Amino acid sequence: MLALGIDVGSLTAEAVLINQAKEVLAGCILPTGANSRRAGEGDLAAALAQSGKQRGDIGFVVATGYGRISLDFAGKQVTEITCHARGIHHLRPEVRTLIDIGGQDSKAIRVSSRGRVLDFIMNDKCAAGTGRFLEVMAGALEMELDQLAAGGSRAKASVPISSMCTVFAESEVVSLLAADHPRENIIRGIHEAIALRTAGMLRRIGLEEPLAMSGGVAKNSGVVRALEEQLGCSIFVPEEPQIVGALGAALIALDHLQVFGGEGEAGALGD
Amino acid sequence: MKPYREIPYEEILADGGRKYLGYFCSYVPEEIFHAAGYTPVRLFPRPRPLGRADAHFPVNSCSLARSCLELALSKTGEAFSAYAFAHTCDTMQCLADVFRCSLPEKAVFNFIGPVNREAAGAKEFLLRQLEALLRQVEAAAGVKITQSRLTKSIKTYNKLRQQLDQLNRRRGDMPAGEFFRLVEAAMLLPGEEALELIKGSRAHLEEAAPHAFQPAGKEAPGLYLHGGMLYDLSLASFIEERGGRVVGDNLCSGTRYFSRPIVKPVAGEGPLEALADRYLQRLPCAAKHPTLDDNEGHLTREAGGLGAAGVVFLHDIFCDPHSWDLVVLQNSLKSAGIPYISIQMDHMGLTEQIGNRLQAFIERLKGDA
Repeated sequence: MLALGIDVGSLTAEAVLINQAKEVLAGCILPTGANSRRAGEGDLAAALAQSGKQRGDIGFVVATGYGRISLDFAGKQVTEITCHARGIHHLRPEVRTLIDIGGQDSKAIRVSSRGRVLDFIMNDKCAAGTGRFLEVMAGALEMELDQLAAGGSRAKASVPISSMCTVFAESEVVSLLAADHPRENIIRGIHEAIALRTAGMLRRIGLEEPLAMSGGVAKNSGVVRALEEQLGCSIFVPEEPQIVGALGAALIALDHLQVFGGEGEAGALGD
Repeated sequence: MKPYREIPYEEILADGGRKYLGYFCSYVPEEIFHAAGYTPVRLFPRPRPLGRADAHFPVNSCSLARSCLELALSKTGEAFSAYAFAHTCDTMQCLADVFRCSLPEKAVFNFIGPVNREAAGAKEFLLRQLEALLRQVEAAAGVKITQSRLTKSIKTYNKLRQQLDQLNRRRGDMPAGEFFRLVEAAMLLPGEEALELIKGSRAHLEEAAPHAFQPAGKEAPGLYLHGGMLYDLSLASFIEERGGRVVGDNLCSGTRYFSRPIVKPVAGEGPLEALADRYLQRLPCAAKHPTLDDNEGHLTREAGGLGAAGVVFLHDIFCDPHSWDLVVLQNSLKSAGIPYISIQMDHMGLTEQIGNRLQAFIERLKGDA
């Protein structure tokens, strides 16, 4: 029997399908859109198509992320904090601290030698420094989100962004463009603003190396580099950082399968 | 059963024959107001959009203050005859002044008790404040508060707190949300009505089979709640739905309200002295405690004694007194090896993000991974 983890976040929904040997058979990333359940079902269909498996092959499903409650076909709901810790432990067991920056929140997680959450901290009232923040800034700069990292790497200097409120920061970026600051320098300033905020969160929880980063923002090498400079240490970024939460969910689903089996249970999808 | 907080204040304040007194803090001596013919009604923050209140307070100030000011300035607020404050922080002091200026037709009382309850002269100061308050209330209500009237009111609230104290001893046998609902009812309903409600619930509990209520099995980690008011009763239910259980609390809208339940004059003392004695011996809170060590020691003793696997700090996102104490309290728990999480809320109550953090904390305590 296979184990499926689905992570429905605010911007994207990811799925990871694994077998009993913990080999990844499918890993999918789709936009969440307005309907979390539909996004989860889309992920399920994509994972089946990618792996060539059938619904009946899936023994247990664990849902995570903000949309996890909407996935009534999942047998268990677990927070993404627990799932990211579990996922990164599988990929790099020596990691002791994890930064996860997703679409609307950022988290610093201390991870035990067994992949358990020792402590965590996260933003709660404000989306500054998250994926949505970068998306809005890219819009203000009239660029695609995935062009930001390359743009920032060409910067000769940094233009500090003083506003951390996403709306005010957007106005600030528009003003800086109007004042003829090079776009690349503004991008570096944006990356440094996110790094500064994230480093503060890490220092509050206590950074223990090795440090890793997951979530969509980890794909932006400019943010990762700025954070490394802030902290004075290197950061491990998995090959596909966006699916770490879904991978952790799949591993928890596999645990469940190995203890309880999957036949006829809630969370087993059937034919 | 519907939580009382979800019943609009329009319904709570529906009896036109009563003189309702809105009050802010569990340190307000309800007995004095009750003896003068007022019906004390605790002011709880409600998840309402704020408009009028924002003309007086910036948005980064205590949402309890802002939400209750909004209520007082609304049409519903007209049903209150008077308001009572206990001086706990700068915000409450300013809020009392805003009430006086904005609602000149209402009586506004500001009771100032000692912050350090063990300071030299604390009891003498407190007695003078209680006497002054009693005179102010008499003048505003046009009623002479005789010793027998005050003693009768004290007995009513003694019974109410005693019932809550008994209920607290059985709280493991009932849903946490139901326990807090009953404590809230004691603060929102006329004392006599609340007493009947709580007696009924206790009788129901006595009839139920022992251990009939099992929220999440024996392995459910016990949580101790510490802080200000429980802004949203659904938070208590949420903890149970996510596999935790509430083993105790030191919250202003929880155990702190009825702690040291009995007010009884000792030989040679009157009812005011007895009220003062209770004030000085209640559970510590961020605004009233002898020393920070006392608050810190109480928390670790209580949480440890009740077998709590973790502590949830709950307070208003802009509450200064609780924020000041938080670091010291967290350090004491760290030394004692008790995990904790700090949840800062506003009047809008339990949000998706807060729920996520609570669930992750419970998962951490259970060792889920």
